[in-house]
Amino acid sequence: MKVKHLESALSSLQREFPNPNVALEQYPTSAHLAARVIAFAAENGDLGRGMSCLDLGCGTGMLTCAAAFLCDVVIAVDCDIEALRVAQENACSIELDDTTNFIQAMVRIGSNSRVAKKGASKRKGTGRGRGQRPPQRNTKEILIEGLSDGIPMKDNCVDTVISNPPFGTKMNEGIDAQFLRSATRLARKAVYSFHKTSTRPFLSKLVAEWGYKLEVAAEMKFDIPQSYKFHKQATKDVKVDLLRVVI
Amino acid sequence: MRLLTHNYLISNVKGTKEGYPLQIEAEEVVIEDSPFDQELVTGILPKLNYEAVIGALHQVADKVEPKPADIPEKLPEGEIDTATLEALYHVLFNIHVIEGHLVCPDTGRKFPIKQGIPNMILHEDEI
Repeated sequence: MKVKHLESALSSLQREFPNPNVALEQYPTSAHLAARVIAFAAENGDLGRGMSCLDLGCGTGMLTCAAAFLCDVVIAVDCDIEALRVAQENACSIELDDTTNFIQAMVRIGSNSRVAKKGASKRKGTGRGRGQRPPQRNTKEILIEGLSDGIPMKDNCVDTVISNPPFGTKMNEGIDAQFLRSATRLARKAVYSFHKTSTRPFLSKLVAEWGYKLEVAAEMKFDIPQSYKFHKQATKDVKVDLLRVVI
Repeated sequence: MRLLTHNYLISNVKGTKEGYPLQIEAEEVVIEDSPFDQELVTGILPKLNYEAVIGALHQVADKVEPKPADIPEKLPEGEIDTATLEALYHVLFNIHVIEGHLVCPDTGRKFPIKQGIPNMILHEDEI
């Protein structure tokens, strides 16, 4: 299927979250991006007929639906039931309900994360997603291994995991690394995941320690539109990597 | 929730030993027919836990109307005939548990299924 046709088919879907939740960092993935990621994964032989795929943090289902055009089985996981319902409707609206399956589950962060600490010192430039904080030095220590990560599925249960995870800017630092860890445990072949470019050195080290190969498949800017009232700018450009991890 | 989806799910409640397969308590089940895809079901069968498929079917059977065609108790070796593949496809893809619960086989913890979506989110004290 041509990328432009895939993008065209996806552009009719409802992208917006019904009541976007600040804490969950809910931003829709564009049809343009979803089509390209999926086409890229297919070129690499990581998605296609006879294969299964999991969308971790599926939101309103853009990546889910894109994958469902090319795969036989897509499992879409999100913690927000309202987003899942939209994703389900989206899949139905383009007749992909045969291929898509929805599960409500939540990726957990470790209890030692910054979130849990009371009276953490306020730093200039932080808050409301502004300012680039380097990843917490002990994020590694708070990463959860295995089933305790909150996803009720066995290791290596699907061929490929795709994910546009929260970036860890809303009092949930480390969540992006946790999503990547969970993704790598669930996949048999490959993981495609979006992460802030600023976290690249840190994540590269982590992935190497886990024993996998990491590629920066693409660099881009996420044009995050004003979703929340407190956003002063109409859009904000965030430098983002598309990472491909080979399992 | 399809029986296919159920096959992937495992319980992660604290105190679980095996956690698989989750038991199904079905309250509402619907059949939604979809076009039979022989290649798809042939490809996916070896990747599934067939025992769990049989178990799941037994657990929802009394809520399924019309009664599905029988599927073998054990996965046949070698090539499977088309009629059996059709029956298997139907069981895996067309039976949807809309309302009910998934139950952890070790702890008895119930996970609700609402409008076809199971909620597997645990409370902090259950992890």
